[in-house]
Amino acid sequence: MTHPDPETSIERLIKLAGERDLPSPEGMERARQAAHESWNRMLEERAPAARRSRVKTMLGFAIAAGFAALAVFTWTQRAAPPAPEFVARIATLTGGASLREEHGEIIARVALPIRAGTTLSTSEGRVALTFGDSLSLRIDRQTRLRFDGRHQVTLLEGALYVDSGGINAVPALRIETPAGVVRHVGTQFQVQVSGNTTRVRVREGRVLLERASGAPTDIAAGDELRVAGSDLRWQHGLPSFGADWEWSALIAPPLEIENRPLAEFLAWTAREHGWQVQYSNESLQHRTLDIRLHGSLDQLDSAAMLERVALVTGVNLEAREGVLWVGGGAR
Amino acid sequence: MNEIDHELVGRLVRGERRAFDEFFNEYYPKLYRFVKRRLPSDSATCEDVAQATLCRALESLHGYRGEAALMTWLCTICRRELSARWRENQGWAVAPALAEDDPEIRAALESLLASEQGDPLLATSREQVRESILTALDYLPAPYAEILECKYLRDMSITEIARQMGRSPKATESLLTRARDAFREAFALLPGGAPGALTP
Repeated sequence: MTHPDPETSIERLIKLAGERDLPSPEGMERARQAAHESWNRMLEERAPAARRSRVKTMLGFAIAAGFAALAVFTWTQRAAPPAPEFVARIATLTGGASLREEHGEIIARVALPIRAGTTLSTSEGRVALTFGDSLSLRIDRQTRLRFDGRHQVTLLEGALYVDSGGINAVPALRIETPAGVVRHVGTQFQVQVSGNTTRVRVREGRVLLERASGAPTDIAAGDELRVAGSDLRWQHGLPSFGADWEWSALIAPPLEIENRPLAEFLAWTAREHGWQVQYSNESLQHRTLDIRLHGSLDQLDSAAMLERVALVTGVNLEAREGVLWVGGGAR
Repeated sequence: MNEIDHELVGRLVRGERRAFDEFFNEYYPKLYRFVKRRLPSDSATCEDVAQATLCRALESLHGYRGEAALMTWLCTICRRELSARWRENQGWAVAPALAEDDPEIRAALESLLASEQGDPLLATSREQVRESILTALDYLPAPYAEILECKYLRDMSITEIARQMGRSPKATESLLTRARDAFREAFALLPGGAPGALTP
């Protein structure tokens, strides 16, 4: 039996595959323009940082060279164009939403940056946004939210959920509501506005409600405060899990699990659902730091995620009554 | 550190127009095909997803540190974009499971450093072999894929290819040899790409 040489084989294979697909010329042109705009935006956003770097250099030079360099510094400052203020970015989206900007209305899409002054509206959709490095903001259905600045939003109607990512992870987000300004101190909480009633419910940490008059009201984990005009109604000892919180987990940006320890997945999923993690024994708890996950959990709901992870790691996982049981013990 | 990719990103961050053209021309078609293999949707939607990926990547270029190949980094962003689209359109059919999504195969493809020690999955159809060939071509550096297509698909001579690519005939021969070796390595990792597929 004779074999063709490797070159003949490669030729045969490439002929078999044929020409590779290409996007349409119109699509290519559209993408080129959009990509070019994004590239310019990135360059504009980087300009202030580059300017700061230039400023340092120029100041050093100014000490040595005197007024001439200082004049260059001043000129540089004046010549730099102001960068547009992007305050948030859409991380995930279900069901659709729209953004009203200064120049009209656009359809929301994933990765879209949001400028100050924009109002986001959902009807049957939900949206998750990122603020800065770690703050996650989830917007429920039937909600209108205006982005006033880098650290301030106004909840006009509907509900939002905030996960600051930890104590003092970012400057506190200020949420304007009819009842006053809601500020957090490293926490997970939700705010709902319906007519003249504002409801603040805290899952973790602490929230301050600053009303038009009087001292700020402190709302702690497990508390819910409803404000309608001068009427305040409290509920205490509310669970950190359950139906009232689940909508925010449904829109949570997915965790990239590739090569991450099982312990990290468990902490993430427990935080998203407000569960406590309970290990059957200490040795298993240590082992979850060494077990690495591979692949993706995208498109799976929480039950399917737990099932999949339990299957591939061999560690029994079960969520029941606000507790994520690891290694058994649920019953 | 992937120096070629890192250098291209550096030029992009400095605002070099030619770098933008190089980046766009190489990676947009690759991302489009990457999406098309995964999305049971029309070409316009695939173009839209590839476009969104490229825009997102360009806006966060400072996040690229050159530790992985640029294509690896773009594919990671693209997977997130695809996941979001899946959630938006839950009526879509189930996404096809692709061998290149296997982390091990992906890592090997993207680095093109793997030896033939892998245990490639069995090819079940001619179409699967074709997909593997196209995937292997997309993971190769652009000049490698281009020279292989010029030579074997368009039946161009070395002199013609050299003229088109602006290289000497000798450099073109050398490029073709490297391209064949890289293709063989990449293809061997994919379904239908077992060493036997390179012989009858």
